[in-house]
Amino acid sequence: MNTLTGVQLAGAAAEHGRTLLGETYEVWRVAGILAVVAAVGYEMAMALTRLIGLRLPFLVLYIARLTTPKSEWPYLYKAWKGELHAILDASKGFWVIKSLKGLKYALPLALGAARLTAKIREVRVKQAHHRSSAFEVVEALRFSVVTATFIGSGVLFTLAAALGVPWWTAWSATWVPFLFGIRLSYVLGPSSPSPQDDKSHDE
Amino acid sequence: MEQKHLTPAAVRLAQTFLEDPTRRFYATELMEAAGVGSGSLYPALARMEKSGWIVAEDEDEGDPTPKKRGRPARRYYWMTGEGARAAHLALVELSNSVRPPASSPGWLIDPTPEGV
Repeated sequence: MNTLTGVQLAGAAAEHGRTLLGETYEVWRVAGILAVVAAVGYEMAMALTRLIGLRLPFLVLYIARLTTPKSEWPYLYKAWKGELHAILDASKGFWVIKSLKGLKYALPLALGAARLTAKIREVRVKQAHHRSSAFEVVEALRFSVVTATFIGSGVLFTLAAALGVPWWTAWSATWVPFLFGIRLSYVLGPSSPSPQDDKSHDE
Repeated sequence: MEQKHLTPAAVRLAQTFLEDPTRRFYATELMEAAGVGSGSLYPALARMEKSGWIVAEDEDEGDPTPKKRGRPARRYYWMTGEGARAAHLALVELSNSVRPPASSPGWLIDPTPEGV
C-alpha cells in the first residue's frame, strides 16, 4: 500500500512538479493570494463598517437640527456632541456596543427631545425679548414726553417774549415745566431691565 | 419649578443631585446615576437650569484637557445652594402630595382577592 502510494506520488510529482497535500505549488500560490486579498478586504470592510457605525450616531444627532431653532442649536449641539464623543470614544468595549450606545443617546434627541429642550430654553429668551421690547416702547414714550415738553417750553418762551414779559419770568415759565416734564417722564416709566435679564440673551 | 414639571426623570435627577449637591456631573454620568435616557434628561435639565436649581458650564473654560485629548468639550452640571434647598422642598412637597391618606385601610386588606 505504502509502496503503491509512493509510486503514485512519484508519478504525480513527475507529472505536475512538487506538491503539498496533493496540490501543486501553483494552486497554493493562488490560494495564498486569495487569502491575502480576502483578509485585506475583510479588514477594510470592517474598518469602513466601524467608521460608519461610529459616525452614524453623529448623523442621527444632527437630524435634531431640523427641529431645533437656529438660535438654540449651537449651544445645545456643543454639549450633545461632547457627550456623544465621550460615549463613542470610551477606550473599552466593542465598537458595535459603543455605536449602539451612541444611537441610544442620539435617537431620542433627534425624535423630539431636542425640540422640547430648545422650547423650554427659548421661553426664557422670548420673555427677555418681550421685556426688552416693552422697555424700548417706554423709552420711545419717554423721549416723546421730553420732546413735547421741550417744544412746549419753546412755544411758551416765544409767547412770553412776544408779550413783553420780563426775561426771568419767561425763563421760569419755560424751563421749570421743561425740567418738570423730564422728571415726570422718568417717574412714569418703569425701571430698566436688570442685568440678569440681559444675561439670558447671552446664553 | 412647578410640581407639574416634576416628572419621574426630574425627580430622579433631583435625588441624584441632592445625594451630593457639591458634585459636578456630566450628562452621561447623570443618565447612569439617575437611570434616565437622554430624551428625558435634557428637557429636565433645561427646566432645572431655568428655575435656577442647577448651573451648566463647559469644561473648556479654563481647562485645557479636552483640547489635549483631541475631543470636544463636555458640559457639566451642578446644583446651586438655592437649588438644593428648593429641590429638597419640592421633593418633600411631592412626597406629601402622593402620600396615601392616613385613613386608608390599604394595609389591612388581604392581598389575596376573595374567592381565589
